[in-house]
Formats: sequence, C-alpha cells, structure tokens
Amino acid sequence: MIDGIPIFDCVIHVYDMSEGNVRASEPTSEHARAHIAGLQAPTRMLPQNAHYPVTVRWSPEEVYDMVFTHGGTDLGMAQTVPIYDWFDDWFAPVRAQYEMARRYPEQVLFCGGVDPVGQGPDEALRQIEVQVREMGARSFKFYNGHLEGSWRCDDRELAYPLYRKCLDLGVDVIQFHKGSPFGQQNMEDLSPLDLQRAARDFPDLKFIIHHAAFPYIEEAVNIASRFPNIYIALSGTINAYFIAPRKVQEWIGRMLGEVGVDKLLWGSEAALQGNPRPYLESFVHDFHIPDDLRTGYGYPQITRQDKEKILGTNFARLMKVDLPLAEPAQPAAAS
Amino acid sequence: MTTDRGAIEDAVAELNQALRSHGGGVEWIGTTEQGALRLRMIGMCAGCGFRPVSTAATIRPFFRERLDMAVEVEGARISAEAEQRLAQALAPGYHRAGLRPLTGKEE
Repeated sequence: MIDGIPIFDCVIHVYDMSEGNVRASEPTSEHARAHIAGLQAPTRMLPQNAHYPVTVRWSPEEVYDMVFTHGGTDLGMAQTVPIYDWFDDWFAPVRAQYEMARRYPEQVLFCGGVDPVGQGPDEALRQIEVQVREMGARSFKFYNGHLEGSWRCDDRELAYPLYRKCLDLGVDVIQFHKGSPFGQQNMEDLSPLDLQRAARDFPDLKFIIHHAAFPYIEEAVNIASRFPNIYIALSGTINAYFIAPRKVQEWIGRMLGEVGVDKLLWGSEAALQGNPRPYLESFVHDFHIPDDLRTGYGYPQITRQDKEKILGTNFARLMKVDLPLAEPAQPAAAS
Repeated sequence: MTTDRGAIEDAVAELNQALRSHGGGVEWIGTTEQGALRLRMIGMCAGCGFRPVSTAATIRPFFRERLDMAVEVEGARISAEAEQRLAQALAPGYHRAGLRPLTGKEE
C-alpha cells in the first residue's frame, strides 16, 4: 500500500536482457538492447533505483524484492513479452513469468504470451492451451509489431483464433504492447487502430492498450472512449512524471475526462523501470491537474478515489480478485 | 432520489428518445457510492467531442427533474471551471424553458 491505497500493478516483467539472451544472428539486436537500456537512464538517476542493473537476467526473487518488499505493491501481474526479434528466449520469457507466479501465488498472477507468426498459428494455439491449463495463465500479452512478421490484431486468420481460444478457456482479458517501439521495426505496426474491429467482433473480451500507445496517444484515447471493452494501461507513463510532469498531467487529465477513470490501469514496468515506490508516492502525494489545464482544457481534477481506482481497484475488477481495503489517507499526505 | 430500477429504466428510455436525434443514446451501467447514476454513451454519442455539453445541457437536468438524481457519464467528465462556463452559457435556455438553472457544481 502507498498511503493507504492498495496497489495492483498490471505489468511487471521478469525480463532477460543478459548477453546470453541476445540474438546474435540479428544485426539490430545490440541496437535494440542499447535502446531499451538507454530509455531507463532517467529512472536510474533516482537514488532508489541507482543501484539496479538494466542489461541483466532478473530472477523472480529479485523482482519480488524490488516490487513487493521495497515497492509498496500488494498484487502484480508478471507479463510475458513475446519480443523474439532480438532475444532468443524472448524479452520476458514465458517460463520466468510463470516461475514468479508459482513462487508467490498470493501476490503474483501469470500473464502468458504467444505469437502467431513467430511460433506459427497452430503452435500459438497449443501454447495458449498449455499456458492456461498447466501454468495458470490469467491473461495474455501480444506484441504484434516485429522487424519481420508483424501481424494485425484484427487479422481474422491469424489473430481471431487466438482470441476465440482465450475465451474458450475462460480468459477474457488480453493485452497488447502498443506504440513505444523498442527497436527499428516499423512503428505503424504498433498503432492501436487495429484493435477497433477486434473489439467490435469480440465484445466479451477486454482489450488493454499498454503504454497508452505512445506516441499514438490521440488514437488510444479516442478508441478507448468509444469502445466499452478497451482499456488503457499507463504502463511506464506515470513514471515520466519526474521528468516531464506537465506532459503527464496533460495525458492523465485528458484520459480522466474522455476515457473515464474506470478504464485506466497502473503499470510500473518493473524491473525495467526500477522500484515503483518513488513513482507511486509521487502520484499519490503530488499528482494533480493544474489550474490552467482545468480552466483551459476542461480537464477534471483528480481525486483520491480516482487514484485508488487507477492504482488497484480497476485491474482487480478486471481480473476478478480481491484487493486489501483502502485505508484513510494520512492527514499530511492527503491529496 | 429514487432507487426504483423500473423508474430509472423508464427515464433512460425516455431520454434516449430525445438522444436519437444525436444518432446515439446512453445506457445505465450502475450507481456510484454517492448514489449518482452512472451512464455510458452509445452509438454516435460514444467518442463525440460534445459529450460534456450533452451531459450538462440535457442529461443531468433531465435526471434531476425526473428522479432528483445526480449523473456521472463515463468519458464526459470535465473540470469545475468548465462546468461553470457551461452553466453560464446555458442559463438563458433553462430560464426560457422554466427549468432550474445549472449551478455549475454538478460534477
């Protein structure tokens, strides 16, 4: 908890950026690895995060120590990331996420991952079955933009069988890395626009757009405001508050107004972005929508109840799990 | 304020007759802890940039008159300052229609 607010982190990664996992046969691998590491430079400037390494292989115990022991988090979802372009065992391997959920079943949920091009459609379907039935996957993460082999999320031949399989197995929340390309793949492949037809065709599925699809944030806001089954995960987004508070205020203010607070989800991107505590404390204690954005843009002020929803209760509702009850704010810290 | 489900559903249906002219409508998705109706816009109203205007000018006054209930519309939340501006701009229309004016504190 952070100041009495229960925290359910929708996206943590037991990732592997060690030398041994870098795909040597792909010429852009080192660039991608350096790019991902470079993006973390600001987070490592925080004293709480200065000692955490980036280009390593994390263990479940190390991520637990960061996120739960020190980070103030109550529940989290360990998410597979099927980036195979530059990493032999993917960026965040299936097995590592599973191991973390198995090791800490009371606090960590397992999010599986497949890719219908990288693995082939039949193997992807088989993997969904295995990851749900044998490994307890509660959701799936898709990464559809690749150097070669990008696929559209509304592809009826490649994508829809995966969604049907998820529903058949009782998984009704699926998640997409959108925007934020990690390397030199075509960025438009990670636009969220291809979720619209999929959301229409699968009204019983909930679609989560990660990273607010930055820089496709306009598209993400518009889509999420029109489709009741599309949500926005602020994965890594709130963390930028230290660097560019104004930008984050504009993003969150707009989403509060147009998407609605019930469809916004906190995600830390730990271990990649370090210990989430400084971001969480800053959001709980300091984050607000300033006067000129309220008067000039009509963005609503954020409330403590809004923060409780974003930081935990919204994702708990989606995943059908119980969170600890919120406690009153400490008087000096109340926002 | 009412908690009668039938009365709420009837009121939503009546409002939606008017909102057909917008090519859309609203659906009732719940009630807040404070007892306000929670609505979601559907059809052409979903995603429309004028959601806050329809909310302030039509939806809130309607439910206040019919059921004495406050309303929250998903994706149409604006600042208190913007509510005040809308209330001032809409006040003459409410006066002519014989309705209670907005206070600008409906959020």
